[in-house]
Amino acid sequence: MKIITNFFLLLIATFFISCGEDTNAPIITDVSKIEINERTPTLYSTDSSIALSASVTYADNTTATVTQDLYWQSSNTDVASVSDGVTRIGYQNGGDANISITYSQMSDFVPLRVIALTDFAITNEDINATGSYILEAKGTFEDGTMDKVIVKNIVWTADNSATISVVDDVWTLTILAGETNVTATVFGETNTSSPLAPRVKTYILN
Amino acid sequence: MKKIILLLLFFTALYSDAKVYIGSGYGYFYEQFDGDTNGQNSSNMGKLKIAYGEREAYAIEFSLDYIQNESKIFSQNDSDKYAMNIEFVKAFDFNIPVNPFFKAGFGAGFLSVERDLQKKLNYGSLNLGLGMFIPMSESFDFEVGYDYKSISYESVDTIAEKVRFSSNANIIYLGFNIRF
Repeated sequence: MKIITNFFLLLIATFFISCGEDTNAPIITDVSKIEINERTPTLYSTDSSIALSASVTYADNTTATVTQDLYWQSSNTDVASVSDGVTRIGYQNGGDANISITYSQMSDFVPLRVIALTDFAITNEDINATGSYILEAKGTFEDGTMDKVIVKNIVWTADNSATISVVDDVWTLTILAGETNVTATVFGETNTSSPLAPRVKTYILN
Repeated sequence: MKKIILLLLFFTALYSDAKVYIGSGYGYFYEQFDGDTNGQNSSNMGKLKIAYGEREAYAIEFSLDYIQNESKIFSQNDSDKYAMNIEFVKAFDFNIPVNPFFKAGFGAGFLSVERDLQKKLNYGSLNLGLGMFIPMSESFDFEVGYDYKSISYESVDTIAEKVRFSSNANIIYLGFNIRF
């Protein structure tokens, strides 16, 4: 009987020791929304990419960067594609696309504007000695921006014995001798009546 | 699963006097979360069980727990909890009016939460307990006991990270068993 009494006393003691206030506010705050931080991103159609970021806002108004935790999608991959926030230019000269993020049932999107190229020119000065040269063209865009270096959507070719190589969007011409025609083609445009017809520059080595 | 069945067969063969018994209990549940979270929850709980074994020796118990929940640990509207447990019981006969026992096992349960990304949280528990059967007759006894549960919850998704919570629960309960 003594054992039973002691056990009951132990249980009652445990009961009182363990009595406590219930927690009335969540110990972990809830997610409130996700959003892309750059609300009106723009790119020029010959840019390489733009890095977008996303954040989550919690119920207690704190935020955290979650760029790589979300699913990113572009509504028009001809204009731009996106992965982990890195938005890469597409093969179309200008246009609009919606860049969206989703996570479970939550989502957000921003409109991306890609500004079209309207004119361009090869800007390398005269090349008159054997060697390697980085090729460069600059463009004018529909928003009036001028002399902007063209990085993407340009293809360089050369005739004669010259060779062209490309590494990380940097085109290098290696020229040996004689007369060399270097051609820059943007957006695959070959229509000679187009404002974006290929530009040709001739270099003569003496 | 095979191991559980083999264990059951083992106990069946070893203790031929074993009986099926069913029981019910009412208890007080107190849960304290680990770490800096300071979450705690105290509530009433009920238990139903079906078991097989001897009051003076070994038994295996399957139980269903219903745990009231008035706290707001994971969301503004955490639901009551439901759990099932399997526990092995070792009882003793010391020629006293009661049969003390201890038990060990594990359990699994869930509760509903109102979070944007999750509507339900599962949890698992390691269970330890001790108590005593108080026989009233050959087929009826009361049971008083204390259970400790080490609880691990499914991770809570905050997008930026997945946070795992664990807690320690102390339960005292009073119940009865009917043996067939």
